[in-house]
Amino acid sequence: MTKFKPGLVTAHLLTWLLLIVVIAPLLVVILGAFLNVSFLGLASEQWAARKGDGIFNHGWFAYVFHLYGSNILFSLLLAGLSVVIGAAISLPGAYILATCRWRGLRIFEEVVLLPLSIPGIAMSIGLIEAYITFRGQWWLILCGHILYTVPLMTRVLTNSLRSFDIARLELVAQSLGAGWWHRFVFVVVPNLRHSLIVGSLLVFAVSWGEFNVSYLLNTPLHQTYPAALYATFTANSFQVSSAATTIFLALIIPILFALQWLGGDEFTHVEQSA
Amino acid sequence: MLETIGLRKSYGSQLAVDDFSHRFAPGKITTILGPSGSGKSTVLGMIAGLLQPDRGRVELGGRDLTSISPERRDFGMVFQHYALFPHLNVQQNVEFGLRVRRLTRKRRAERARETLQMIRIEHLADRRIREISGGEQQRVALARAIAIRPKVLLMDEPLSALDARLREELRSELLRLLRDLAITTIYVTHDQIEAMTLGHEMIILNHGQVEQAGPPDELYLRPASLFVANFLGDSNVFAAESEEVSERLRLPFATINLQPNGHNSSPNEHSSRCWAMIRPESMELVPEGEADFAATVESATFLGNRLRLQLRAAGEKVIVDVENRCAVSPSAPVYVKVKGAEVATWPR
Repeated sequence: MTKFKPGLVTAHLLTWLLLIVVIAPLLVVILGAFLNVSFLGLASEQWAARKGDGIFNHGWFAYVFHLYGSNILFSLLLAGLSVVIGAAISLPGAYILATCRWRGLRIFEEVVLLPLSIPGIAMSIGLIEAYITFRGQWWLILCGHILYTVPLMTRVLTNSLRSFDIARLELVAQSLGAGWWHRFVFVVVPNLRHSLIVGSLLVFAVSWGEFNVSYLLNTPLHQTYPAALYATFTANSFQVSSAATTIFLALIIPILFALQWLGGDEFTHVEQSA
Repeated sequence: MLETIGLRKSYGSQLAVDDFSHRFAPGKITTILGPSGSGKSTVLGMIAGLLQPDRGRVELGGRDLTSISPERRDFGMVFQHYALFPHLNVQQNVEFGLRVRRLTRKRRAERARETLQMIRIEHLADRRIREISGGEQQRVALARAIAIRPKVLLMDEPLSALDARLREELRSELLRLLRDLAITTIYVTHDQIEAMTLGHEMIILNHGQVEQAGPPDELYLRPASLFVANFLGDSNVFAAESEEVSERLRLPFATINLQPNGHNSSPNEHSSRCWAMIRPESMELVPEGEADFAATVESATFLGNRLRLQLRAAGEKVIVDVENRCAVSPSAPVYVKVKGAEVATWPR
């Protein structure tokens, strides 16, 4: 017969309690997006739901897409471009960091990671002041996202390259007749496949959820979805805000699960270094 | 023929290799042996083109390769740590060099299968690298290097990461394979047995310089210097005096007949003082009447196939290897005869 262990039971109870405390706000928001009950908030936009009196209602989503569809698309575009441009910059950058042997490399690496420790507001002001002529251009927001995401991906790829001693593999490939291009395409990149996926997901998630830079650099024509989310909490009813938040989470949560599932070695190192 | 002419390489103020010149016999295995830091791997790196010499040349068939990049030299290389490509399976690893050489898919597969069969690991063709053992990984690394049919095969301590039993097993396989293939091979090792077993020729390096080069038996029996004598195998080295007229050698504890047969070089013209080297197996225990000297047993160590005796003769320590069933007891007196023909001497 299993012996009753009070300490273990208390630990279990505390864990569950903590989980409930963490998940409760999310659950309230998600339920708010589907329920049609007046105590959840002033339903001034009740007409938008189009379905009158039932308890469950998914009409809010259509309304959110109607209101913020262009912001969602703009954020998806920014996140996608951040991944592509980030990979194009980070891949050679990480390769240099992992293979070069010059003294200033450590300092250079710290400089690359610097944007992660600068507050978004400071970065935005810096971008506005430096490129005042281009203020209002959508790509200035993209620059802000890239400044934040490139260090993350560079770190993921550098850690990965160092973990399997790329210099040695390249040496072997060279002895087998492979020139630089062959080594990069057939040895370096295939060995980074896993890390590229992890890094891309990470960059996509960070860009999709980035608020500070986006909020300060956005224009009436180019507003990201998180900035719109802020607007919906200040201007729309709880149900509409909840639906908007649920759409936001619907993209971010699978990415976080995927990152966990893919194995978080590189991810963990990034978190530590950041 | 591969030839190195006056290769020199230093790292900062430290000289790693100095004036390394050698002609490597075509189709033969040359082993480079030396203690840690003697410059073995640096020599190999310069021959491979992975390191640029400060001075000197590497030539193949009269063509200067010194400024040619490693990938254009057509040399195969096997490293100590296998360094197999983790994203490829066994067959794809073997095909790598062939793919770089733009062989068709069919030719690549044929050549890879053929090479895997030669090394007797064709059953591993579809395995992932992480699914095979260390010994198998080293076989794959060898297959990968020879699949490209290199003009020269360079091996940098390929067995040193393996355990003793596996090392021995792979050594005999390598011997069979390398001698069958008849590729000019340069094999760097710090293991004397490996160097002597595999090499048609051996080069002994010390402080970046060649101490002696030649067939393994010659280096063992006729070491050109005290360093080679001490480094290669076990030896007893004594300060001695030679009696040129009578061809006798006066050791600190005995006088023996030298029986010159080429193993011993003639002492200095102006002096008869010399160093004498006697291998432990060049002495035997005999009855008192036939002995060159008497000694006392200090210890006896069982080495499996032989018994190693540590003797004391007139205050000098003498190591003698005898049959493993030989019955001796500590502090007992023994009588020793030196096989005069196997004594090597150098001027002192």
